[in-house]
Formats: sequence, structure tokens, C-alpha cells
Amino acid sequence: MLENTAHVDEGTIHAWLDGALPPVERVAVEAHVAACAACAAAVAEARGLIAASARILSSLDDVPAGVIPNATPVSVERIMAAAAQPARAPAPAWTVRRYAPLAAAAVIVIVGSVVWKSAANRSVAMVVAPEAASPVAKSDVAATGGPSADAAPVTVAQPMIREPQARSPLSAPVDAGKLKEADIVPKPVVPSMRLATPPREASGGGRAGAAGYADATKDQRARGQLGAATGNATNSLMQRSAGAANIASNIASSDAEKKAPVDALAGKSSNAKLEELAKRSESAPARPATQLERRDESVAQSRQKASPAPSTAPLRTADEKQRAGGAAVSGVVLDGATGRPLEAANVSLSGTQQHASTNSVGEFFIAGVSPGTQMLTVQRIGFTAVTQSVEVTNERASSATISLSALATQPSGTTVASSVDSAAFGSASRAIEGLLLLSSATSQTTGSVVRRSIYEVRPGVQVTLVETRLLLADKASQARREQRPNRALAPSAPPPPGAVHSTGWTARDGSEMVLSGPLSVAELQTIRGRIP
Amino acid sequence: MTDVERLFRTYHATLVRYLTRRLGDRDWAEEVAQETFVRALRQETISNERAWLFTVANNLVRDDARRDARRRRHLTLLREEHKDDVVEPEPSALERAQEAALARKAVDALAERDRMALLLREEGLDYTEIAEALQLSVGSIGTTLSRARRRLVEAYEALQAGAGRREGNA
Repeated sequence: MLENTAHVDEGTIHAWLDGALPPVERVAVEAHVAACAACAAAVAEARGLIAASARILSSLDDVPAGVIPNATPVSVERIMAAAAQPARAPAPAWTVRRYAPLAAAAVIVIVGSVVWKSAANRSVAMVVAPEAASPVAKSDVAATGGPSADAAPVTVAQPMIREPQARSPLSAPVDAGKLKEADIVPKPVVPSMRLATPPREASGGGRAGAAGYADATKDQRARGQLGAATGNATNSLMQRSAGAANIASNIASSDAEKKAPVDALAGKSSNAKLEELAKRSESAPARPATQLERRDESVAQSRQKASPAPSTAPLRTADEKQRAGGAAVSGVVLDGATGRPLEAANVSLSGTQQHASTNSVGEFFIAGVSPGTQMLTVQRIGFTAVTQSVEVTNERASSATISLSALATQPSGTTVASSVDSAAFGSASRAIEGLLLLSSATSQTTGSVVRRSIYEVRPGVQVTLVETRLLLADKASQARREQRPNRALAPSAPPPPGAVHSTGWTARDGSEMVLSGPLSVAELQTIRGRIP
Repeated sequence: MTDVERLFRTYHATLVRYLTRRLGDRDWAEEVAQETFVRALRQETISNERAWLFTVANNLVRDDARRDARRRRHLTLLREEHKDDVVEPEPSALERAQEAALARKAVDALAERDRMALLLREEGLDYTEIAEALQLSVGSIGTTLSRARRRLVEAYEALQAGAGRREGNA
């Protein structure tokens, strides 16, 4: 490769310094650089460039977050939600909390069919009516001319294109809710559109208002229903129904994840294809131009942007279940610490492939569940997984309210560069120029993450930097902090012995900082000036 | 699935830092990171985790950029407005902010590929991972990085000199 006489090019020098050269080449470069003054100088320069660019880039980290005033929840909250607990925006009036009847149950569970009541009373109620399934099933069978389960994935996709207009009223409000510029969007439209649709579904025998995907899986439903109607429902049929329901829920949620390149990369070509179809169907319908625009904008913000509209996925899944003839489990996943619903939690049934994700109000629904005692496992980023048993019967609703608690607190005193660290502080430990970092520990409580770092100023003299970052996107406390940016805080642990002073301030990223140690305040403040 | 928890613990910090550096928008960065982990949650198997996460994040950013340049301009405006409200009593904070602004400009002056390669490298990705994330050949990464570093430092120093002159005049 390289001969000792050939000068080493800059790219190779960087690769060498980055430890990226294969052994043979590395040896050659080492030999050459040792012998060639010009190349040695180039190496020195490259080292300088590497160090300087690292330093320049590190100064980019000091970017304040949560600076958008009065918008829908700022994303710090979302990351915090992942790290510890969900800090959601105040629930818009029409979320589940408002639906007194529903909320009273806290959990929705249906076996058999789901009927959406009229929107007139602004409530959503689900009625258990297993018998209602049969006529629906028959109409479906009649419409399709008979079951043909094998074509499932294909039929899933097609109706999305065929009946996009049936889909848009359902999906539009969801997206509208995601807008940062939510105030621009006339909000009253949102709930009314959403609530107007389900009754059509119910009254139309499952046909009239059914979103495309519902048609898509009608073959499966029909089979499930036939089985149920004739009393021959078998597990395999249920499984198949459940599979259909899962596909449907995938599609239903795909409007929030129309990011084909990602999925293509992820190797999920079939999903990508479905999403592509979903995308086409979504952009097809003639919708008011502004809505379309905003929709596109909002997609980028992603669905977790505390979209106040409940995701339609579980609801549709419920609709799906209505015709499936198996038992079902549904419920809501809450943050144990705050009682708030958790979005995007993954709920799975042990021993099966069946699973669901919670929607924006924490609800999930799994259809086609075999009766008996089932174990539900709920997982969510930043929370300890929970497994809970639930009795599933065909006779009555099976429900589960599952509370998750944030991940266990890291034991203090150990050095952790954890997600807690990252979530709260955006980086691993802070380097202070001229000081040796002895240890850094992050601990987490309900409302805050505290990182305690100990630095050695000189042998035997240590200072402690305590950084406290509030996890709750508590606007009031943010406001308080902004009003008193230099409020000194008492260190939350006993400071080291000796004449200890401390100084406190609020970092630009919002962390409360306290630096303490056996130094004068002036010395501490000198050090403070060096804290990046 | 508990894998995702581990992924989150291992890579969230670095991903957010990378995205913040790249986008100059912490909110956006955290959103993208969050979405990336949501994708990971849905993913059955991931062979090279780090490269996968950064690639997905890059794709999400690209999609975002395609779709909502307008929205981002709006956000930038809001942020600029907000900047005026922020009281920065400490000179050190001000200096830091100025440094960050210079760094931002210098980083933005880089070609997209150079910038991404450099930022990925700063997060500890090795050459193979960078190549995978950026669809480049491994052999070209050294050259890309050396160019990126040189240009970044030169741009930064030029900006610094310019800022110094302006201050001198004022």
C-alpha cells in the first residue's frame, strides 16, 4: 500500500489518528511518519485540527431547548417523558378525560362489538353487544362474496386507495392536533369531525363509514365471524383475525410515520409498501388546501408531539374486533408517578405475537385473544417493564389499567453515563477546563434528574458540581426560574468537610447548578466561569 | 424489547448531541431522537445498532427538511424573537453564546456530507459505521473527515477574526 518513501496524504493521516487504518497500512504510516519531517508536521497539524474541530463542535451543545413560546408542548417534555415520566401538555378539552363515562371506567374493554354513540352528548361510549357481530359479519360476507383469507396483505392495502375519503375525516383531526401552530387551526372542527364518523360506522352495519383498512380485513373478519356465529370459532381463526387486526393497526398508525426511507432501510419492505400505499391514499382526497399543507408540516413533528387527538389506531382496531368474534383485551397505560396516560407503550400478550401500541391517550386494544388468563407485558422507553395478568372471557369485558414506573434510580456514587444523564443534560459529564473529573453520578427522582460531579482542583481539594434538571415541563417553575435566574440552591447532599462555600446559578440549558467546595466564593466563581 | 431500553440508555445522549450539533435546534434534535427510538421499538432486529440509529435519525432529519423548511424558518424566527427576551447577565454566558454562534456558522458552512461525517465521528462512530450511515465507501472517510476538520477550523478562525474586527471597531 504505502511505501516508506511516499508521503502520506491528509486523509490517511486522519484515518490513522482516528485508528481506522488496517494494521498493515498503519505500520507503514507509522514508519513513514517517524522518518519524514514533512509528514510528521502534517500529523501534528492534523492532531491540531482534530482537537480544534472537536472543541468547536462541543460549543454547539449549548443550545437552549424549549424556547418556543406558548406552543404546544415542547419536545424536552417528550424526551423527559421517555426518560422518566410523560410530561404532556394540558389535555385538550376533548381528550378522554372529558369523556366522563369513558374516563369513569378508566379503561375500555370490549368483548364482541363496539358501538359508538352519537356525538351529541360529546361522549364516547362503548357497548358490549356480542350478538351484534353476526349481522355485520353476514353483510361483510355478502359484500365480498365469501372469505378468502390468503389475500390478506393485498386486500389490506387496496381499500386505502379505493376509499380515501372515508379515511380522511378520521385522520385529519389527529394531524391537526399535532400542529405547533395549533392556534391557527380552528379547533372545534377537530372533535366534531372525529366524533361524527364512528356513528356512521355503527349504523352502517360496519360498511358505510368504515375506514379503508376495515374493508381490507373483512375477509378475516368474515371468517372470524362465521366461526363465531356457528359456534366453531377456533384458535387459529382467532389468531388470523388478530393478525389482521395487527396489520390494520399498523396501517392506521402509518399516517404518522410516512417515512419510507427509514423503513426501507430497516428492511421492512412490506411495511414500507403498505405505508407507501397509505401515503398515496392520504394525499389523494381533495381536502382543503390549508389542511393538507398543515398536515404535511405536522407530520414532521411526528405524532408524539402530544397530539391531543387520540390516535385512531386502537379505535379502529376495536372496530376490527367487533367483527372478529374473539375475546379482546384493552386498557390504558399510565405513568405510575403522575397518573398520566403514556403514549407509544408497547403492550404484548405473552406467548403470542399479539401486541399493540398505546395511542396518545394511553389506550391500547388487542383483539382475537384466547380466553383464559393472559399475561400482558407493557414496555416503554424509559420505564420499567410491567407484566400483569388479565382474565379474558368471552362473556364480559377484559380490561387492564397498567401503571408504569420510571426506570429505577441509579445508585449514587457510581459513575454512570446513562440515558438519564443524556436525557437531562444532553451530554455525558461536563468537562471543566483545568480540573480533573473524579466522578460523576446521576440520580433521578420523580421530578428531576440530579448529576453530581466531583472535580479535583488540586491534590486534596475537590469541588462538587450539582446539576439539577427538572423533568417536568412545568411552565410555572420555568417561569419562576426565569425570574430568579441566579437563585442559589442548597446542595442536596452534605458538602465535603471543611470551610465549604457554594455558589449557585442557572445554566443556559435550564439546569440548576450548585458548585461547592472548600474554596472561597471567589475561587468557586472562577471555576464556574470555566464550566462549559 | 428490553433491548430498546438498553439502546436508549446507550445511545440517547450521543444521538441527541449529534442531532443538536447538526440541526442547531435542541427541540428538533430531541424530537428526532425520540422518533428514532420509537422506530427502534418497532424494529425486530438491528444488526449494527449505532449505525442503524444514526442512519434512521439522518433519514428522519432529511424527511423533516424536505417537508417543512417553511415551518423551521418560522421556528427560527420565533427563536430569534425569544433571544431578545432572554437576559444573559453573565459575560461568560455571553461569550459562550458568541462562540456557539460562530461555531454554528462554521459548521453550517461545511458541505452536508462533510458535516455529517464529522459529527458522526465526534459521537464515536468508527469509519465503517460512518460509511454505512452516509452510504460512502470506507476508504473515503479519512479524506472526508480531514477536509471537514480543516474547513471547519478555518471557517471558525476566519469568523472569529471577523468578529474581533467588528468588536474593535465598535
